[in-house]
Amino acid sequence: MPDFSDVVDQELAKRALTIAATGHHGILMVGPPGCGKTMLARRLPTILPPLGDEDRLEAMLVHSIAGEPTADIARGVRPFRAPHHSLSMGGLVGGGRPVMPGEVSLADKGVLFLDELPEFATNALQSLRQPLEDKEVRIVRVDGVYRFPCDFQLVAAANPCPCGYLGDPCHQCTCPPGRVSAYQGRLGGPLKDRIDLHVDVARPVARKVIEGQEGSSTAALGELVRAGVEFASWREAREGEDVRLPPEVEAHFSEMAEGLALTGRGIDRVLRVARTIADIDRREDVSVQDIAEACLFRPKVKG
Amino acid sequence: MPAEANRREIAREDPLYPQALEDLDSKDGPPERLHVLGNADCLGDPLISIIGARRATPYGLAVSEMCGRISAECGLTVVSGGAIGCDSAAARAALGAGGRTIVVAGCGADEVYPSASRDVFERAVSQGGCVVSIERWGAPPMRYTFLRRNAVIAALGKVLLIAEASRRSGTFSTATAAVQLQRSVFCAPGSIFSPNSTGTNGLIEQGAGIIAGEESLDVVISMNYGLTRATLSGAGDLEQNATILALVASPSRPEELAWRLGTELLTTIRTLSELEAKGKVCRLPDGRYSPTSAYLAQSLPSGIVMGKGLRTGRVESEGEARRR
Repeated sequence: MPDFSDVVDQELAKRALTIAATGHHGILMVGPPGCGKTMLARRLPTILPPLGDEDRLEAMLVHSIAGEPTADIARGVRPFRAPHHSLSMGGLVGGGRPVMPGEVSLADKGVLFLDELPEFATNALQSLRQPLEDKEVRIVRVDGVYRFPCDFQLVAAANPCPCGYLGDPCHQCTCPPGRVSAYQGRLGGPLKDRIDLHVDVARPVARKVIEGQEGSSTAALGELVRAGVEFASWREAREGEDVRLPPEVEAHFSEMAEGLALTGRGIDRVLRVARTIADIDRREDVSVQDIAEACLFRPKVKG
Repeated sequence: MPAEANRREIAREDPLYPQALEDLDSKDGPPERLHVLGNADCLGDPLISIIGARRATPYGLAVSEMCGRISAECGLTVVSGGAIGCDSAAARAALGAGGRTIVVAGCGADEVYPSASRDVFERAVSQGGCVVSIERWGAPPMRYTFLRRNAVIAALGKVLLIAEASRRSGTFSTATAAVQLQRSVFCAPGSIFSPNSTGTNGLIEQGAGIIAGEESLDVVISMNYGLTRATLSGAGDLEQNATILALVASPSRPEELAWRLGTELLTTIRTLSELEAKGKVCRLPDGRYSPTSAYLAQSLPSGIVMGKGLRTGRVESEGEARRR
């Protein structure tokens, strides 16, 4: 089994993934090639809460329809799908004749990892919006309507610029600044309002890799997620899903939102992430620090 | 399209042709013709060239702005390339301080490139300066035109100020040209760990002059042009804590910063976020955090400007001497 302790020197990204796993937030990791984005994403299923019996049956059902192996899911391992960016819209959400579930449905109860997000076809990404909202794909054909479940955790990754080396201390980035901003603009794209967390991932320091310095492990992070999810469901059962802020925190947040020029949607997103951070700490009230942390992980794409 | 009357071609025989360009002895020799959009007379002003990398950090932008503003306040006309980053920051600051600026374009003087600097090209003309090019009217920007353009920028200014540049930026070709033309080159030093400052630091190592702050720039200008401005010194009143001081020294990623300060990562990212909301730090496109140029400009130790364009000793500029 892969373990988070295999990934060296990426504590910030691990923190973001913990928050994403707890609050079921979409996450985008940006960093140069070879910095460990894929390694991090592959380890996300290991910290998600254990697969319940019903969920396991559902995921096995989808896999068996598609003719995919089900042994791992039967053992309680959550699915992890990492389709290539040349994937078509049909391959992503499902289709064909006879109708087959797509990657989103195969990632049901697991993780869908979109590496090189800006390289995916815009229409394929566009087709993800509805399934993300409804957690279900509907494919209408002459002989009826096919429904496939697709309750997945979205993880995306991208390079910081077309050549990939912007901000890498060991390589020179060769992209002109205009192309960098155009590329980073594409990061938002059709999924921008479905991704709550952005995190920059840097190349790990060589010395730490060679020494094999271990950071947080799957066991430690998994414990945080489990506690957070448990606390959140208890809190939601009591007071509903709305996020309420104590008055002094609210005043502080409105000041920060002003300073960072957050949009309405941005404010909403920061609030949801801050609520999740408080859940991980098992606190009923969102604090100023939670808000500040959530602001750091806010999407940096304009618009 | 601006009126034809605004355009002018200056041949080498023309009295307005800047004598400084005669020093150019690359294989093409001095340009035969200058295409000028706007007020061609400003080519006879005391000129200072201010350049820097397109990919600038807020530090580089703050330095460019400081250089542009002080030069304008001393009554110098700022020569620059109008590119994104340092060039346009210096030109905007000079225009903002009520000065004149000359944009040396790599395309035709009636074209705008890059389009993000359109305001600089337009205000240069409307505020009594001009856009100059050695390319024909309407010429599109080509890669090779920029090297020729850089040599012209280096030749025009008696002094060349470099705000920030890495070793591989185009700014370096301007610096090399200026050295060959025996112009004085001054650089703003940067952190030795910052990849964006390797070029300027390297030039200093090879003997370029250093701009160590506002006063130091005042001295450079008064030594070379005999111009000065009156200032009152007053210490900046600023929130300074370990986090922001570390970032002033060198922009870093949150993990790096936490490690250097010996604080918890969570504490560091919360502090960064607070500082970002207050407009004191900003995130660079590569994920590092840096103080904003507004913060850096405020933190300069001296800076209340009382008057501008005061003359100290009467030192004649070359242009004046020639016209008489």
